[in-house]
Amino acid sequence: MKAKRRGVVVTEEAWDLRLFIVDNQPRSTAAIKNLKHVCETYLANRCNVEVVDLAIHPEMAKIEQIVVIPTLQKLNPRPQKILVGDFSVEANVLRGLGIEQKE
Amino acid sequence: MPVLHKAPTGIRGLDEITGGGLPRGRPTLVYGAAGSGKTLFGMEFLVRGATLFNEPGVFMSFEETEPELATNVSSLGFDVNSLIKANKLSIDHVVVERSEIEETGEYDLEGLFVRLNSAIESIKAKRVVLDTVEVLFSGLSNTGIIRAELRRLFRWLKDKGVTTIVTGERGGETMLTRHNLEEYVSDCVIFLDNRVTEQLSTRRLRIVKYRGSSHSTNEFPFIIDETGLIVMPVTEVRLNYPVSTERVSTGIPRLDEMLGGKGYLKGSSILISGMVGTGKTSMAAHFVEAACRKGISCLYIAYEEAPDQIIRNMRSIGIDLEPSVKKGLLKYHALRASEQGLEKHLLIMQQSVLKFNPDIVIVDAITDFGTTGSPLEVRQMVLRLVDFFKMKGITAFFTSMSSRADLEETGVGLSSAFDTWIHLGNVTGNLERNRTLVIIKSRGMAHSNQVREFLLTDKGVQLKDIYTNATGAFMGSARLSQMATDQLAASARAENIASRERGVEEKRRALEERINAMRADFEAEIREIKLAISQEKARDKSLSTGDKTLTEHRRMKS
Repeated sequence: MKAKRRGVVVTEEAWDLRLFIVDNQPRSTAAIKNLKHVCETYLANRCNVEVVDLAIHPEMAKIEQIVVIPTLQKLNPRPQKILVGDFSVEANVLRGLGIEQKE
Repeated sequence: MPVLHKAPTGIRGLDEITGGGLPRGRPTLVYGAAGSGKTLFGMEFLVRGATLFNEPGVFMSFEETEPELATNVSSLGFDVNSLIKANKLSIDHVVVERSEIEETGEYDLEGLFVRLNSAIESIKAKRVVLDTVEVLFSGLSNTGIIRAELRRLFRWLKDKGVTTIVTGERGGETMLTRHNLEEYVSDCVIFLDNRVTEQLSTRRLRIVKYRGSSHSTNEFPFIIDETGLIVMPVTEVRLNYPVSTERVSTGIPRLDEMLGGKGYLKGSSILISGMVGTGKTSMAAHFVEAACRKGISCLYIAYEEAPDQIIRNMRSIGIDLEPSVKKGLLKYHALRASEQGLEKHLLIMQQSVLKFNPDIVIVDAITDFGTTGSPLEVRQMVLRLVDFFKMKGITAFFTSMSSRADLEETGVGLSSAFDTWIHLGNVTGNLERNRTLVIIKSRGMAHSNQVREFLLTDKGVQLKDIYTNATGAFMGSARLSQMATDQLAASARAENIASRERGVEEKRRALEERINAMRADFEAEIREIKLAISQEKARDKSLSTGDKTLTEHRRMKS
């Protein structure tokens, strides 16, 4: 059940991601933009990203053990992973998400 | 210049040495090696703040989980859970696990700020503890970001006006802390140390820095007991004690006599030194028993023997301490010296004294501390102890084990600390050991300089004059035999004199008898002579009468 797209192998199942940001700071905006790019490029139509603004839901920070902003939780598919940063280093994003790159 | 406000920590002793607590509204760095007590320090700061000063607090733990923390500090009598329920305390366990995190670019620690802020706001916290933020350095790779964010965090905490404790691991040679936290926290820095020597740990606290506040740079011993941290201010030995001229009996009448007729000075420090078995504890027992009989309360801190054992042993020499114990006048505190560090001992003794508030304290024996610290440390501790007792006006009675009989030594090299020093010696000779007692010094009173023989009888301690004659001084059985010999010789001499006196008398009687006999002879002779004379006279008379008759007769015839 693997689709090949630009040398990248991904599973067909849906991807559930949760992104934690605080306010609409430049870094948060950049993170959303970079993540969107990755999703569109590698996970088209299978990417559900929930954005949690801790300025609105501060209690979530403790519950979800958030220290670093931005933090992305990869909930599905397993294994779960935590990515931090503004997703500007694409190779690390792909490694973090477990998207194998085949050259 | 703005006044530096301080937030009392409630940690016993710490507020005294910091002149009121930590800088209010500012961060303080508390650093030390693992196990030095940083976490407990922080937790007590919050618990005391919440309970004593109505200042709720947030504990942000980067290492221990909330249940772990609650359990660890419950042994100190802190009921963290009920404080949390009462909204006086909030604990947040922060997990940053490097192996689970993929770093994909620029980031900040805004999540931490959000958590801290919501915790502070939820309970209106005035205090914050971060234990220990250094964990971030191992959880995240971009140290540049962490440094910048920590700098921002401390500034933010200052702006919030919360009094913060930041804990840190002790660093190498060039830095106080491993990640140079001192760079961000510049107001107050406290170092906690836990030194282990010969299996005994001694905790110490030092205020490395306290901006805008005078502070002592001394190391202060502290302990962690079942009630939390206790820092012990090292009182400089003050010499303005309340001085008393009242006396307390030693319990040994003869010794009272030797000490100017009245005994020890009230509120003074007394040292009884001597080798094992010289009667130090017996001296203490006499003192205690006599005091309790007068209603004076005594605390007996026993390091060598169990209380029951002391009571039994003392009964064998006729001192019954049990009634005093029953009356509540005598309290025993038995400890084993090696069980605790020196500081803890000092503290336990001080606490015990404060609780019982006795007039007299016996410490039997101070030399037992020699096993728990260096001679210098022991000396310092004894000085502080003596100082403490003097400040409280307590008559302190210390025993000290000497290592050699002939050596008059305090055992702790501290003769100046004691007002009265009595040495119990052993003199061996004639196949026996005899105990001696001598007052080496006794400030503020005339006292005997005589060595006395010290006897332990079934009626307690007895002091005897040492027997001296022209040939020497004698003690023990030698004293008795010499006394007997001398007595025998004396009686022989007395006999001799008496018999000679009798001889003279006899001679006198003989002389008188002879005189009487001679007088009798003489008188008899005189009587005979007189008789003869009177007979002669009588014949003469009759002769002349005869002549006359004859003449007359002749006249008639013629």
